[in-house]
Amino acid sequence: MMRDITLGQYYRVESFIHKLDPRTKIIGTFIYMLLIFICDTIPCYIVGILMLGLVIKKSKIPLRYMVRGLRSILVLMIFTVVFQLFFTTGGKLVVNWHFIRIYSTGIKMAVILIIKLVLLVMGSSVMTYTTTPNQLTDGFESVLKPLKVFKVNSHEIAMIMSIALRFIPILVDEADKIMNAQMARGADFEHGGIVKKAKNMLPLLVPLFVSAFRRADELSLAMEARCYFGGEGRTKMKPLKYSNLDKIAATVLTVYTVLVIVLYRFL
Amino acid sequence: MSFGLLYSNIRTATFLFDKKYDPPQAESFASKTLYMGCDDMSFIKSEKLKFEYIRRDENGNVDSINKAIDEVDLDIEKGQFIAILGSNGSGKSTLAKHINALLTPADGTMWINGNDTKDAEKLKNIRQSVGMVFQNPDNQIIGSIVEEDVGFGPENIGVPTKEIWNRVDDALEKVDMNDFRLKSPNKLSGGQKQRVAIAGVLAMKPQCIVLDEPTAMLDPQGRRDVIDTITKLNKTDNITIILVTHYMEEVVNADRVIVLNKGKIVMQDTPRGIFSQIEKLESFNLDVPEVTKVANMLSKSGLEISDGILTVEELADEIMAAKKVRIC
Amino acid sequence: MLIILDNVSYVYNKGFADEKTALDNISLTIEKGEFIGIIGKTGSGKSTLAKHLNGLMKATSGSIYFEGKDIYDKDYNLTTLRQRVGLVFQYPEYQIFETTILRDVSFGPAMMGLPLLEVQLRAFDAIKKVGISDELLDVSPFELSGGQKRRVAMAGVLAMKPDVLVLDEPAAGLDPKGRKDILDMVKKLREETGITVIMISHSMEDMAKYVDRLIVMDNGKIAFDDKTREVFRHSKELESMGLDIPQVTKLLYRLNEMGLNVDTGNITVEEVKDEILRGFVK
Repeated sequence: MMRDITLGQYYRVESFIHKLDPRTKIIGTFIYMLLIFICDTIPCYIVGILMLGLVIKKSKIPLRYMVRGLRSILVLMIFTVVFQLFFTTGGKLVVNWHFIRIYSTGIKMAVILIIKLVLLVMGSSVMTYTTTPNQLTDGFESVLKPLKVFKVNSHEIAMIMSIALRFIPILVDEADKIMNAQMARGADFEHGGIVKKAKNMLPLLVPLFVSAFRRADELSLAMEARCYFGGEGRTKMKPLKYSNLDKIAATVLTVYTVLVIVLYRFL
Repeated sequence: MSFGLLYSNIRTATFLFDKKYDPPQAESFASKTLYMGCDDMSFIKSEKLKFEYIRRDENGNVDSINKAIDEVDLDIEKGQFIAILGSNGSGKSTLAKHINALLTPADGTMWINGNDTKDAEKLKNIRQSVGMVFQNPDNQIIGSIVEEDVGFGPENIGVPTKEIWNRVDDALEKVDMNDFRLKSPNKLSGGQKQRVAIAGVLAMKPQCIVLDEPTAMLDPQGRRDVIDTITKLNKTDNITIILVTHYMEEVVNADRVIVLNKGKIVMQDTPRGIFSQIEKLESFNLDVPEVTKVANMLSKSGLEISDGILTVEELADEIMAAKKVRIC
Repeated sequence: MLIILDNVSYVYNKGFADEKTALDNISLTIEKGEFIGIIGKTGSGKSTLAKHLNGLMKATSGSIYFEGKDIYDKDYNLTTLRQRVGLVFQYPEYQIFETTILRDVSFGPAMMGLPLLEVQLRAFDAIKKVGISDELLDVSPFELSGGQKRRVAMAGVLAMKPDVLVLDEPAAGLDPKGRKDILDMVKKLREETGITVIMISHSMEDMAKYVDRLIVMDNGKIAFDDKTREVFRHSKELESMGLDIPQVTKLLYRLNEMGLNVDTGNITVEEVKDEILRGFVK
């Protein structure tokens, strides 16, 4: 069950999107997410969906694979829908059954929110599917460099991220093992109410945290042993370089941005 | 999980603050070649090395002091293959961490290539010339792709891009992992991961590699591969190898075996010399390979078998020779 | 017959591109009180097999019977099975989570819903059996050494009073003394309580020394299932599967090739010494 997490894991194929400079992808994703947030009208979303479709097609990642990744936020989506449907009033009363009242505004809000969530998650995951964690790290480091003025160490942030991405599969695997081991001693992770369930998770969570700390400790030692002293003075095995592909991507992005803003303001 | 990572980062971050570290300059990369030259004195040397783990209770009072290393004198020349043997808690890992300056002595001195490990300015130099491979293969691979992990060390010491690629190619070739260079480390077996870790060290062009129980978590196949790899590096590239282990079979090829017990060096000899003292080894919670045991028993039963037999072939030859003597 | 596996197969990711057969038509019977070893290369299906024995994994096809009852029956109680077939995973010390040793060992019996007194009695008993001193009952398990932690974790399974103990690499990563101590403990436990033990290991030497019957797994199939010393007679086949035979057995083979007449069915240090001496007299 836990192995199904495909969200955020690099997917190896050769494609236009894969070849882009990570900075282009980071900035592009950021602008895309911003536009989805701000311009929340149906026409803007239609353009947004088309844009995402184009990017996914160009990335050569099977749509099935991307949708599988969405499963991990299914609960969040259902929760959002239920919340919007039942607790938004306004507009026409559509359903009136016992204590349940659903209004047209609620339906509209729910639909918009679902689209928004899916676009945000898929949009950002295209970036992680097509960029190796190391490229991502380098990209973030470079993009965030101006924040040095505010004493933000972009290298360290980037390093934390890449290590997190490397260790997620290891810890998922470990959680699986610990769960099995505790089930062999009669642990029950499925039954009971919320409080009982949370309490039942202790046999999983305590060993998992102990292990994560141990790993972190060993990893930091290993990094020190390999002369890691932070970002200063480091060179790059794979330095970032913009290419013609990035120019194309930038043009497409600009057109998209202008289009969405025009649609939002004038439609 | 982000907790642990946060913690890791805090550790690295505080490390940065503790030790005023000079960022490596372009010329320091060039000057490294100078260090390769001076080998008049022993490569690794320690005098009266001591290290203690101090445990404190909640009020900060000293609860107990555990002498992990107790007055250890080491003297290791370049190009040697040294095995450090010891049971759990004998201090062997602590000693290994001193050679790479991950730990500095509480008392006494440790020199690597003539550099005192307490000298913070020499830190980068020491860690570049003495690479370290740890027990758990998962917890020492930083990169998400094999080749990027191997490049991590050279990046840290400021090697120019083109040269990093050369070194990565070279290192992967030497550990025979070139076919896996674009794979995720998570998809490799334990033995393969350890070889990647060795390549990561090799890419820094070290003169010495310290391996801290590198095979403890591996299956027999992985164990053989790792031992073969380091033996080859020692023979063909003349890299000094310090192998910390408790598997006796792995020390057979060493030039010298050092046995640690309760933080002290209790034996120091060739493998043959060490293996001939079965009772003494057992008193340090160590064990000899089964052939050595059989050889010892046979010799006690009156056969003429020499002490400290290391391999099956050797014992078979001796038995056949003894048989001939009998018949004559 | 205690456990019967009838044509059990297990396929990972069935229907996907990365489909992999981990168990391939395994049939097996296990009698009460046996000491069985399972050996095989990494990925040969040993651990998958172990997880089938207590119902943690469900076979893709085939059936498993425990004391004559089909464990895949709808009304079969898997929770009880897991308690009767105690499975100790590799590096079990990583599953410890409680604040004291006693509490951690009590977890299993407590989950069985036993009265508190019985829970504590079982925990005491199990802790004693694995050789942990009474004085440590209220100590945090995280303060113990690696070998001791492993014993506590094993006690956690023993406290459920299982009829079968399945151990996955119980000695992995321990030093020679720790290795011997923990295996001797298992041996003693079996002699005293008559518990059935199934042990997975990479070490041929340990197998030679401890188990009566050896099952060799190769690519999800059972390659050999026989008395330990009989299995080691197949040295060529074992080597072709990437497995070793014990050093001392190798010695006998070598001597045989060199013309000394010795029986290669001897597998322990003592036996081999005696056999060589016998060969001399001949």
